[in-house]
Amino acid sequence: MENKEYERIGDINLDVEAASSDDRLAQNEKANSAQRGGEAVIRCVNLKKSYGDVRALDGISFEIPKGKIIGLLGPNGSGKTTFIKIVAGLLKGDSGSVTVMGNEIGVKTKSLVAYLPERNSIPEHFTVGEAVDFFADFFLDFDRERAEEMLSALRVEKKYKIKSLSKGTKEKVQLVMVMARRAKLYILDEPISGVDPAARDYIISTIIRNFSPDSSVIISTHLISDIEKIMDGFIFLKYGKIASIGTPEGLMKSLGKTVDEYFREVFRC
Amino acid sequence: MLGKLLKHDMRSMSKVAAPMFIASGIVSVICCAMLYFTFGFFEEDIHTVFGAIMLTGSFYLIGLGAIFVMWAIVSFLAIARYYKSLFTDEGYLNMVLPIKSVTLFSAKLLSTFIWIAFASGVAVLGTLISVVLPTLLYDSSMVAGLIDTAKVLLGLGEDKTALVITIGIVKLAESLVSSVESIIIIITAVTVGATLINRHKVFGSIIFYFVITLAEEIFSGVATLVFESVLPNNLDISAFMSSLFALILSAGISVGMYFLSLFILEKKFNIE
Repeated sequence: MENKEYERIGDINLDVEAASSDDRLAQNEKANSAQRGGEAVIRCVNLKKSYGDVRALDGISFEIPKGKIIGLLGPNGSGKTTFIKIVAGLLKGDSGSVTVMGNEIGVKTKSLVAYLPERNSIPEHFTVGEAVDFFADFFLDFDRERAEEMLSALRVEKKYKIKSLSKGTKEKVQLVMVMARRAKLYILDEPISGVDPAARDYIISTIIRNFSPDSSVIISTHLISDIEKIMDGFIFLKYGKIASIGTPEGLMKSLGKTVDEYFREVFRC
Repeated sequence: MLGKLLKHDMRSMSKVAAPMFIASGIVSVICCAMLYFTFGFFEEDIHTVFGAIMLTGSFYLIGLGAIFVMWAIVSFLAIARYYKSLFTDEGYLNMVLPIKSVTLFSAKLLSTFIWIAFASGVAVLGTLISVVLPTLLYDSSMVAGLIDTAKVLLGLGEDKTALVITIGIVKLAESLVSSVESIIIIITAVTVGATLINRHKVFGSIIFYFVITLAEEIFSGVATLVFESVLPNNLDISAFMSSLFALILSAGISVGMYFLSLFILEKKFNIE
């Protein structure tokens, strides 16, 4: 198996070795998940994906347990978005496996994963109320009351059209829709890019408020310093491989660096 | 889930289509009144008739044209809605819904069909109101001429034997299935083009439309030639069999296109 070249910092239970050392686990994910107490929210084994000759993911393996907020970090082209798309069910991997709560990616996992894309995916012609109806119709774990509370806190009325909202408000509305779900895994792709610092604080506090110990969050971002304080762990991706994996505390203890500083060092051009 | 998808799709499209349909209705009524009053001048001298036709004729034609432009716009928007909902940013939401690809694709396809059928119905109704109604109101005997024209178009003519009526029905069914085939070819071209040529989705869709249409024309042409070479000499039976073959061919191509689109969506989809 691959994935032995990464650096591991701190006592983080991301179980990279467990995920990558046993081929049988990839073949019988459900049985193993039960055997391991079913604690892994996401498990990725030797996942590969290429676009033509370009290898976007080159055999990555890791496992994320419940109750963790993980930063998925790396420069452009490192494979973050490809990985996220595969987990969200937007793309299929070439080989290897990914499971969410022991289920292969498919209809079942789509009901367990709440995905916040980088772009506004809510149709522009929708009103905010129609967006709420849409999420409530398709996602059984969508908490309408929770969504309405968050929207009223934002002073966004249901009659407002999505296209009439500012970019920042659109991002917040989309975040509300995603975080109002009682999902097992939240995948947030660049949730704080392109918004002002006040909006960033709102987004981060919304993530923390709605996060439950029963679920996990994967956040992909370039703005590491903003989310460092809420991260339980980080995964650095480089050229489709895991370059480093660890915890902010472990990093500070062993190298005396923040994740942001360490990122700049690892990915220095 | 299919019902929920259709509900949201219908609600979205109705926002733009409903005003178009209302406008078509208003234009149809105006055209109807215009033609009816123009008929009234027919009893006057030739100069008055000529003047009336000159005055109202161009407005009438613009009105009729507007009804078909509105049909074209709604049909285009229905196809554009399909494209937008799967291949633009909206795809990030629609493609992560916890439903099977076949349900999602079928709902989007059905919604496109429904709106184009609805728009076609409104255009036909608008034409009837603009052309047939004023004729009927002015002189009902003039309608007989229109009915004769329709009979000829359907292949019924003067002959009302069971076979000829059956041919007419098959031809009607053939034109309906052929319309469905035309729509599904466009949908397939959009699906294949926007998926395989990810960075130039619209361009890819147009290119694949021409490629698929050309392939379909060649395939249909060859299949029809082969089939017609084995047909009996009896003209009526040959006409019936030809229409039936065209109907089956269109239906077969439509089913093929449906599964091709579904395959591409399931196996090759990658939104950027």
